[in-house]
Amino acid sequence: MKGHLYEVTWARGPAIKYISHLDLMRTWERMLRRARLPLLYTQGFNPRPRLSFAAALPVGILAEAELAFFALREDVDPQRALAALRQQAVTGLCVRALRSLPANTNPPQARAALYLVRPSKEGLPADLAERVHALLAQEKLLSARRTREGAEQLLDLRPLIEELHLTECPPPSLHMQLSLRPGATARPEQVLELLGLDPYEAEITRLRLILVGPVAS
Amino acid sequence: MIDTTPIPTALLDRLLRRVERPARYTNAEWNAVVRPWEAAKVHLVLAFADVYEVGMSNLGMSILYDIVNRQPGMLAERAYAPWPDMAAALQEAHLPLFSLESRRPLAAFDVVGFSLGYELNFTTMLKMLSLARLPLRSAERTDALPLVIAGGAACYNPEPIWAFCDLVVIGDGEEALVELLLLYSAYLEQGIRANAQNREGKTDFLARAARLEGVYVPEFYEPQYSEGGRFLGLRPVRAGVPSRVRSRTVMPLPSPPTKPVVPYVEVVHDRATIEVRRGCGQGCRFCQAGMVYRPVRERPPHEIIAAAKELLLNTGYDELGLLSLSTCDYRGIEKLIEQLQAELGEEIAISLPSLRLDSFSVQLAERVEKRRRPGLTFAPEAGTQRLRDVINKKVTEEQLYEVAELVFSRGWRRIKLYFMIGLPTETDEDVYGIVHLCRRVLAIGRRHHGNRASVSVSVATFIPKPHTPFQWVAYIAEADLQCRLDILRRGLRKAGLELSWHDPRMSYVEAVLARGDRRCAAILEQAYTMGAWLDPWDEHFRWQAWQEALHAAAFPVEDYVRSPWPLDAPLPWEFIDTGVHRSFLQREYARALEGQLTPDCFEQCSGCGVSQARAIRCWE
Ligand code: SF4
Repeated sequence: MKGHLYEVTWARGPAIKYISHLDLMRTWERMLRRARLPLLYTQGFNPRPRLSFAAALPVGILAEAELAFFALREDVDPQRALAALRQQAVTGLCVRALRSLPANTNPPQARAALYLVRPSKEGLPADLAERVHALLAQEKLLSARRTREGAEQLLDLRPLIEELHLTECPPPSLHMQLSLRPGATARPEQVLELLGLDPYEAEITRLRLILVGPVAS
Repeated sequence: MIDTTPIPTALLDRLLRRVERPARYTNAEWNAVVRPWEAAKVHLVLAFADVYEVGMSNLGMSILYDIVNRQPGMLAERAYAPWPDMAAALQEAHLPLFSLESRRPLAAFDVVGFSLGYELNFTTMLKMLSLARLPLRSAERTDALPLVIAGGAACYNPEPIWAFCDLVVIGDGEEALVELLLLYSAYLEQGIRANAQNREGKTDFLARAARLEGVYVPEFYEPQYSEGGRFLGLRPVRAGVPSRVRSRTVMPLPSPPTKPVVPYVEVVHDRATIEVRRGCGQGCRFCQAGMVYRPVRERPPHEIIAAAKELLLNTGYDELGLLSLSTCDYRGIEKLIEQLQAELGEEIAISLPSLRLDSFSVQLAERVEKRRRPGLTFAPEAGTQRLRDVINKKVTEEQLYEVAELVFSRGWRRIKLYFMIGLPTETDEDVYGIVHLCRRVLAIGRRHHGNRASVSVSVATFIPKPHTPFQWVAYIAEADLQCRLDILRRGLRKAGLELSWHDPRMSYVEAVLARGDRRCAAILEQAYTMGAWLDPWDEHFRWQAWQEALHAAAFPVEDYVRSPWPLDAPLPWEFIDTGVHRSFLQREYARALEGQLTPDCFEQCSGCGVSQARAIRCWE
């Protein structure tokens, strides 16, 4: 990315958990403009601010440490930019940290993410530890998903589950690290379904992203 | 007791996970105003009778939300029609329709104010009332239940909705709404809502409200019909209410909202909007807005520029829409745009919602829009010079070709043209005229861009609207309509030409409701009961429900809509005094039949009556 590159860490609370990724991107654009930061725009017919995300954040999932990257025309003190962004942040979006990256860095992509699943009020089933164990013992975990064209496709989730375990510290909850690579993405809801849990009844938080990069160009 | 507690988050959460685009129902948008409930004396919910994406693009809602929330002791929240999946989910979960801000049931509010953009929103209002678990008819809502009021462009003939609204605001709502809320808050203070027996308190309030300019209280009037069912007139039946209701006109325009709610989800118009002008002086004879919003009121440039700067700073949008019925008519528009561009910087795009058919407008568009849109849109409305003269659309064929030449030569590849069919005096020849025009425009485009040039043609059915010179005219016969659509379909079947038309069945319903009298209330109720709501949406329009409701009507609807009305017949909406004199409308109708043009207000006043009625000078 050209210009002065910044990395911002942000969290999403319940107030805005139903906002789609596309809408979040537009929200970020507006926040950046409201913060009056000297944004660098793309060239061409329809200029857009240079802004990218390490990973898309699916609807319904809370997040603790998402990463966004943007470029400015001028060097702005990160502390000042952070303060300005915090003032313009929408309800439920917490701007946690901001730092500048070395020039000519390519914004990194996430290759995996760590999720925390908290049980609904009924709590987690008593035999969940066994279910987790049994699941991990499988060689293949086929899960059906719909492609964009609407066709059914079977995906083997097993290699995409990098980690899955129960934590005992109260309240008991489920930790999972899932692959986020293009074409090889597992969603926490899919894993919950494989465990026989209702994905709608749990609160899912993405704790952090595990990055591929940063790659110098 | 009315339950005023907000819907618990956990309950709502379960619904939201299962519906499409849940972010429409979750509030917390930037600039949304959540005022403390207990501190307000009067609680208003602005209810938009269509879905969120449409409602959030409506400037009227944003203006009223802003004004009411700035008043001490008042609170305004928003509610929109849910998409059918959410409506079903609410009903299944036994939850009522709720406001976005505090998530309270609509019944918790003191006033439910519906915004009705056009006639096809009427059934959605009924659906929203029923989702809110409120009785549809005003007569069945006691003092304990909210006052239900309506306003918006569709209310210039409020008779079809007379039974459902305690009162209707006719005309500009900015002042009238605040006055009404102020008046009602006195009744609230005296505990009007403790009375769940009857609606005596409301009646008392309404009698006082009826004296405010622009306020119509339907229950204080009674229609008369001849034995044959002909409408004879509307008569006040309560002392002290005016025999004619004067529509409200605010002058000058109140300062524009500069902190509008910024939606998360993509809405119809995703940009900051500033109204630069209200009304239009061109005098197109089919256009209701051009007749009822008189005189033209322009916002001074310095106010626009100051507001635009604030607006963009407060929202973070990268586009500013200059809204009016005909923005290119704004005096000094060139200079205004120049100043705006200088002040706002080049990252901000400026958009003009409607372009006049002349090279001046194209040059303006070129200055501001090129980087956003692939094409430009114009409205010649009719296909022949004769018919354009009839409707007072002052555009010549040569002008159209000149504009097309200019548009295509400046790099745009697409032109969109709006036409109407079913206009008074129209013959097949006029419709062939549309085909001819469009083909020539395409030929011009081809010269510049070869096969990449395209012309899209959008055709609507003319609806004779109240308060226009064509209010007496018949709605087109079905056979003629089909035949003329056919001419277009056949004539415009060609690569590079794209024809789209409004569903004629929707237009028919709109025509019935537009010129309807009180007997339409039963039709609305019936259609709604049979499943009609969200009528403007192709995928939700229930023609069968409407057919049955129209069939069951207590009067011959078909005749009512498809026959011309005698010039001396009393009209159901004539008790509304817009300031434009009946004799002017008649004169304009006569001139239409003679093909005579009437100048723009700005060139020469044609004495419509507004300046006398309001004792004002239209142009300074
Ligand atoms: S009084 Fe004259 S200038 Fe004023 S609105 Fe009517 S026609 Fe136009």
